[in-house]
Amino acid sequence: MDNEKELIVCIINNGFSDLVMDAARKEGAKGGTIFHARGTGNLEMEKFFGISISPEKEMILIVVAKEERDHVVNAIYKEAGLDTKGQGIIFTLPVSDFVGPQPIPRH
Amino acid sequence: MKAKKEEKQEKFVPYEKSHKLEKMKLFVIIVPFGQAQTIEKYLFNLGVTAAFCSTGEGTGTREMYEVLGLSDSKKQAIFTIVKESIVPQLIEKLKHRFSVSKYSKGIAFSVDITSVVGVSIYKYLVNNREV
Repeated sequence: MDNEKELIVCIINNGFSDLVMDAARKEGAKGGTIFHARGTGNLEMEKFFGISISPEKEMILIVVAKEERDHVVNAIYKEAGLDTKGQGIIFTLPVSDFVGPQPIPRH
Repeated sequence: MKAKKEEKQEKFVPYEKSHKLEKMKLFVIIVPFGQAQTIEKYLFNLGVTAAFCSTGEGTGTREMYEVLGLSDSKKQAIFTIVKESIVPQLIEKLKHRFSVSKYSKGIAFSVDITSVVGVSIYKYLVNNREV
């Protein structure tokens, strides 16, 4: 299958979604959907690692082609990874079916 | 006495041994704001029992929005668990729905579910009425 897709789930601090989407778009993602959410971080972990986890979060879902996934994830991690202020957690899931706008072939 | 009691007890057979299990998928359908109810109607007509709806924001590129003719980026996402057998029908319905007009465009994808806890929850999700 040459049109396999992957779902990128990205959970970041509130207000960093533009950063993530800009990074993803540069690597070829067409769009994403943002959900507002609230984190429930572990207080002990926060004390142990000396970081604060703000409860206001944004969750971003991006569907990309399998070949583009690594580039997009890398770009997002550089912009809003755990070491940055965005404190992003990023993971990907395989998508088995897909309905929606088909990618416009690049010339 | 003890031996008699054991005889009386029926032998326990796990559900997956006595019934054929159907695979399930998590379907995520993202549509423009206000159109989730229509999609939910499709889902319930196909025998889906659980659908969760949430609001979100679209972040498509400007060019993409111009192509699709969308200005409002508010979206509704439906998370639903469907059995594998109805997936082809659902895809056909969604394809038809997304091609009705440029204001009814959307995106849908599915992720395989690997485990479910509880027989009753499984029965509820796959809507096995005859069991």
